[in-house]
Amino acid sequence: MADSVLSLNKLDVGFPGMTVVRDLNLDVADGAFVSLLGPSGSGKSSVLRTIAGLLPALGGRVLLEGQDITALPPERCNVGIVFQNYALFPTMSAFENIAFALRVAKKSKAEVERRVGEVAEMAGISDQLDKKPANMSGGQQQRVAIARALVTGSRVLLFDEPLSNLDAKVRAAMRKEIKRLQSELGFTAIFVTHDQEDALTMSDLIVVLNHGKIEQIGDGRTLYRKPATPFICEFIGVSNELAPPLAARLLGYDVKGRSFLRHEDVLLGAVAGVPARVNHVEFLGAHSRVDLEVEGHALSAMLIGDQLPEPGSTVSLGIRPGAAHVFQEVTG
Amino acid sequence: MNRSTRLDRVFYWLGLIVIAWAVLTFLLVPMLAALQAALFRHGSLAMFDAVSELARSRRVRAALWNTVWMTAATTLTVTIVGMFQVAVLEYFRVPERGFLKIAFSTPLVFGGVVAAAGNNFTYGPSGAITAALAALFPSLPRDWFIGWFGVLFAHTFLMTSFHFLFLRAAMRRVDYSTIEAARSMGASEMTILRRVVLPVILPTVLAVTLLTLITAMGSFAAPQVLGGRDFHMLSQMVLTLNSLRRPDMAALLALLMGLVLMGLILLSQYFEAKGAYTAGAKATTRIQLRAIRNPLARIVVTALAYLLAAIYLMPVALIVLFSFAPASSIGIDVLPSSFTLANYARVLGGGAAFVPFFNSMLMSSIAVAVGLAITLFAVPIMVRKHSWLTRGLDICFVLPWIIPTMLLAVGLIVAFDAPNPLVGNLVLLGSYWLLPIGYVIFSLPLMVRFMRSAFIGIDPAFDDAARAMGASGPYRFRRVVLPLVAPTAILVAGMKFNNLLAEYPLSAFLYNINNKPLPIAIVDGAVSADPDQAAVSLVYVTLIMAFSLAVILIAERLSLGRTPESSNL
Repeated sequence: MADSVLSLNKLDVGFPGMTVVRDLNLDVADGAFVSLLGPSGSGKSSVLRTIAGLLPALGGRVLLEGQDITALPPERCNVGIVFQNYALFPTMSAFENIAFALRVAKKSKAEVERRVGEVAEMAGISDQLDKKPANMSGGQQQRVAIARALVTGSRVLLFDEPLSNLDAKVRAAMRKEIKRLQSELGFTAIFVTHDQEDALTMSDLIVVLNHGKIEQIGDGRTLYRKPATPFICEFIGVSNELAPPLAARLLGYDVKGRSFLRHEDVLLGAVAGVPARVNHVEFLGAHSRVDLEVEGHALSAMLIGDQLPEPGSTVSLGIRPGAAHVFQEVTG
Repeated sequence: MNRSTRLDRVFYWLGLIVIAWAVLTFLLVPMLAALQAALFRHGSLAMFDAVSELARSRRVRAALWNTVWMTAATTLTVTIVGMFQVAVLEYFRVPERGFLKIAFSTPLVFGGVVAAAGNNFTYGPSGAITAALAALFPSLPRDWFIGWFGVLFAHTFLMTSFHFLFLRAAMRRVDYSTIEAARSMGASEMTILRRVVLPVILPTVLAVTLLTLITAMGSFAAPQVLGGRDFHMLSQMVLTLNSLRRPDMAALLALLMGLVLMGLILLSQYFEAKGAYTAGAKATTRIQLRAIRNPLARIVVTALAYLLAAIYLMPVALIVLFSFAPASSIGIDVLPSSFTLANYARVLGGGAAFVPFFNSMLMSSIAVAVGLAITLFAVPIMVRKHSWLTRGLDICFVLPWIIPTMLLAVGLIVAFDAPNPLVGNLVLLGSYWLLPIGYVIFSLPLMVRFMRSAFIGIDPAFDDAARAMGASGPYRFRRVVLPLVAPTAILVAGMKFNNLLAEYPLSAFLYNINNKPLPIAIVDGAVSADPDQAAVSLVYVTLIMAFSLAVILIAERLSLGRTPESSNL
């Protein structure tokens, strides 16, 4: 790809004697926001650390703006990293944290001040530079961490699950903040997360990793609507896996393999539907979840609105046409 | 590999080699030398001969008996006083708790040789209390306090620091809601104490009792100063045997004591671990102080608490007062009639009285600096790399904790009383350096333990972040790691410096005319009949206490102001 700023080329990631991710290929466009999404142990953080040069690659190449950085030490990779919990040095002020890399590179005092000032201005923390991290809010800490990653002129920023320890509300605010800074400052972001909401809300492109393999690459809508594998189906959103007899009954044809149906694609009160018994109704606020039993198989539906069936009653069940995700077994 | 990283590697290996040599030369070889001296004679196992020789000595038998009963008596009296303190501070409501807390905390700055000398200055032949009593009862002998009574008295009130530190903490971990629950079910106060409170604090009580027992058994300065001519304990016997040029007997006696102590330490660690286990629940309700309902009981408890406070505060107050008194009033006046800075001028003015002070300051500074250098170099390696080498190093650093100080001292003496090839065929015994070397070894366990937890507490992401920004190993250590562990390093250096200023056992064995340290001078002054010497000792003791207090205050500030691990969001 001509305009890709970062390319992973047949990259093998892991530790001597234990390959975690094998044969990874990825092209990241300039200014894109790419998430590496996967459950813990899927190898996503190892990929990030390999790009950053913190973990030696076992094979393959990492290209940054066409230049091979695979074997370079971390400081020469010219990618910035925003760590989990930000890893701001608690003994240093915000200024010193941001200036750290410049001081290591023995830049002149004037240049350090100029560049820290510029990046702090961009991140909106010019008035916070004297503070120690402990005296800053989470949002301010995040901006310092991003400023610190940008100060050496890196155009690619790696985020290692920076939001993983936050509660839901703060997390949502931080997401917006990262996204805003990214679009304003125009850097390319590689964002590692195990949280599908992080990935869906922020990314232009999501790379789903599982057991060291890419399951699917695509934008959020594609992953949700056109999952390539059963894993994606179960990992993103909530789905029912249909037992083969039930699948045959609902879809009208025999399924050899696995099939899934998202909760919101189960319709109640359908004309000429299948009779289903309501076992349990859970009111969740904006929507409700209804647990059903259809011909001995369990199935859940999501309903919006206040008109809910009574537990114990029987309803007529249908499915949204074309909504089932069927993964036919390839035989022969 | 560029030039600077190559240089780093050279330093790294050089450092490791130096540490390995130091551990071998000053810890392992002396330990083996002590064992050999204790167990072998002319190349064959002669332990049983030596044991029977020891057993034949009347003085050793007497010292053994004294040690046994004194340890038992001390454990009993300290437990009573210590439990009472904890009850008054953390369970019952007694007026002016803050004052009592300060009084009961004095053993933290007033221990070991300082306390022994302090008690002698208060109750001994030249003490103010003795002067007061002599005015009332002219027939009272001046040395009424000296002997077993003085030792027991000093032990009783000065070994309560374990109760003050650990048992109080255990008491605070008692979940008050369990007490309220018991009360709501109709339990009496006694039942609550016995069935609800005691089981929670029992492991700590046992651990603290064992620690007291260990301390009492190894007591050295107290019998040396307060025991007089007739009451001796085993530690003194080891020193005597050594000075009689019988290092084999000294080593054997120290070894036998050490075996008993090691058993006790292991036992106390077992109880300590159990105590920590009990303290699992976090969301407990703080215990609330209980008013004593019976008015008579309330008066008696309060009066006892204040009497105890007086016993604690009086020696300290008298020492500080008399350190400003003319030497001529010591042993004569109950309270000094005039004040002068002459004693301080003599100690700090650079004359003969300044020498032990200077020696101790210098040797303690050197020992702390060397200890810190070793710890700061070795601990990060031990934390990061796990191999048989680092594990072995770790064990070696902690060894001096388990091995009795006296055994180490005797070991150093027998290892270096002749030319030793490990130190370039020098004879270290009698030189300036054997004592500071002993100080370093003695300091390592505490330093390693504290610094290890400081290094482990550092988020590895800090190192990754600094590495990603191009910082080299030494630069990362200097700019990122060192500032994070600095508060702990300062604290532990202060604590150790403080310990060393008043360290008695090693000093008594290893000092010589060139480096006579403060604790030896304090004991000399305490047992001397010369009021000028006593006055100088008072100044020494006051200075050590002031320094201890400063370290404790700094420690509190540092631990309050220090939050690198909790700084996140």
